[in-house]
Amino acid sequence: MLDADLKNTLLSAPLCKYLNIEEIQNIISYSKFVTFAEGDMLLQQGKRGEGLYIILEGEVIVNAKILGAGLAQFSIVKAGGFVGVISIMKNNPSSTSVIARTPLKCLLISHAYFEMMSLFLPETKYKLVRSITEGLCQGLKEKYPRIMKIINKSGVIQKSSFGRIIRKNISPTIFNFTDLELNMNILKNSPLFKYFNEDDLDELVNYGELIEAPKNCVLINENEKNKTSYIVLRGAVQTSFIYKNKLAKLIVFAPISFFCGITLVNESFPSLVNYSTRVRTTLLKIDENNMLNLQLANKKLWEKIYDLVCHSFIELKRASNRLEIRLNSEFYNIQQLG
Amino acid sequence: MCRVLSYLGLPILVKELLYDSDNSFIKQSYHPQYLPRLLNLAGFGLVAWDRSSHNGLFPYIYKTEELPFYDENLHNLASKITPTCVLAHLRGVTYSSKQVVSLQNVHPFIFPGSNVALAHNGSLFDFEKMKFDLLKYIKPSLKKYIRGTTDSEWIYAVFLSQLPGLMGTYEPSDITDALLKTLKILQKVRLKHDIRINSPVNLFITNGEFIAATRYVFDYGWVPQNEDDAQHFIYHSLWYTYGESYGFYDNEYKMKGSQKRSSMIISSEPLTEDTTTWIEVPEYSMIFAKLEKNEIDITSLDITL
Repeated sequence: MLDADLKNTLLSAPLCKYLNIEEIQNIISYSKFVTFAEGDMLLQQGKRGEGLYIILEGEVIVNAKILGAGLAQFSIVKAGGFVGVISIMKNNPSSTSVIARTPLKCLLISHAYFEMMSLFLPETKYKLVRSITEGLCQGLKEKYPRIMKIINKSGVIQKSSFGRIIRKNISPTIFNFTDLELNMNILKNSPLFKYFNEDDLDELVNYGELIEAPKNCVLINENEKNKTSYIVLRGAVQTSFIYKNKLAKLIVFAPISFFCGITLVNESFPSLVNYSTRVRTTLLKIDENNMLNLQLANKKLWEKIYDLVCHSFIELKRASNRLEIRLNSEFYNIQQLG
Repeated sequence: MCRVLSYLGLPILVKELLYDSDNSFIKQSYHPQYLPRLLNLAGFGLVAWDRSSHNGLFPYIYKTEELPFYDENLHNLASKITPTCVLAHLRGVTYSSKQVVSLQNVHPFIFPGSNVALAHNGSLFDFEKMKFDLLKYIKPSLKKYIRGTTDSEWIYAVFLSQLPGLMGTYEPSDITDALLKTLKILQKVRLKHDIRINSPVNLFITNGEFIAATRYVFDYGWVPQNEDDAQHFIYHSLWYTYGESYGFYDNEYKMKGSQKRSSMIISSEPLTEDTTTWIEVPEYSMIFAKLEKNEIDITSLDITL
């Protein structure tokens, strides 16, 4: 039985902000209360964790071994906060270590239970994923000025303004499905859509339009408020931070992957990231209106799509972490090639 | 689809790179972490520079078409030499009787009269269609040295032809410009033959004084509809780490002392399962590292063709 203080901490935790009391009770029933002594490790960098920890009492330090900088402390997470997003969303090795700064009481949501929620409690899972995604986007927003400062101070060469204007005017071509055959098997067989059934995929495609974008086509501009979503079918989309025409690359979204602007997660945020095609690219585009219609018409499908939204921001966050390390280690783009 | 390893820095026992860590280079021939469905069994090659050796500007060269994990000679050699620069390659090809497994096809490639070596991780789709159009971009004196059947050797010949000379000290821009020109030539010839299929070109170059690598794919994401094996069509990985020295510290293999940069590894995948002190090179990039006054300077550049 959870005491009143711990219950209140859970109820007011950012992760639980969209959950009702019944949903929280369900989570508690299938999760584990764990305690740690000061100095104990919850998550070890480079190793897979057990899941997501919600801190109920105490504080943890988040640090990591960084190439070129040794051991760096990132943050202190207090009661109400959570750690272990990579463990729970991707079941990948943790990118940071988390150590108890004080004696701790936590609620551990295991990876296995989280996966099961897709089948038995999809709405609850969606609400957790929504909170996680908002946290990721906030983190990206906070990191952005720091990275831009480094780029600005560094010798990164500015790209041509004229070139950027030309690229902004390159537009994709819309195809009918009869014109360009969409091979549904490539979606069905993709691990990204493992929780989507055939009806889900058919419906998703109905909300979208098939487009072919030539090389260097800007799909989402930095500083643009854009809620359009895309699924890359063939080709590649490069993401970058751009500041005063200085460009720093993040990651490439390849077939089959999903991405969207940060505005879809938080309406007040303009895109921090530029999304442009690297090569001729075929995409399924779901514009803002259709995303809203989908959300209203098919809640279950929307919940599954939101999982993809979260995954895309996890990749961007990882890429921004890598970029920050690289900017501190390398002379990046200080030379004009060719 | 091949694994490559390059090292620059303090003298290192080659055995520590090839055999000793939990994802050692030789282990990647039969148990690669990043391309698990295609093993690298079609040959092993290594070039290594030790300036104190006879004719120190030129490397030791070792090549075999045999399986390296059974190669006692390789193990003995690796347990003895301590070069300051290494480039090693494991060749991975599809399991087909049409593949030619021979010494002439083992990387790294290094032509007579040059001390610049190249190894390639990747494959140019429909290369047979386009290869003879590369001849006009290769210096006449180099054409005769192409002995094998690989696209990689042709890429090397084109690259070498873009350098100001076959030997000497190169500025970073000599190498990066030559790499970019090489990629542009390949792109031009592909366009001429309307080849628009995913073709990775991770190139590793060294002459003992620098190491450089590209992480690039032509027409990424465009895979033939009927293609069963997707291994050739993923974006091939490229990682690096640096520090004071690489070895066995605190019960694990790692780069020690990352605040000091006197040693660097650029490779297809990390040599350890723990990748926390390795960084992935972004897609469409190249990286160049040179030892200057006991410190390695690292330059990275976006590749835009």
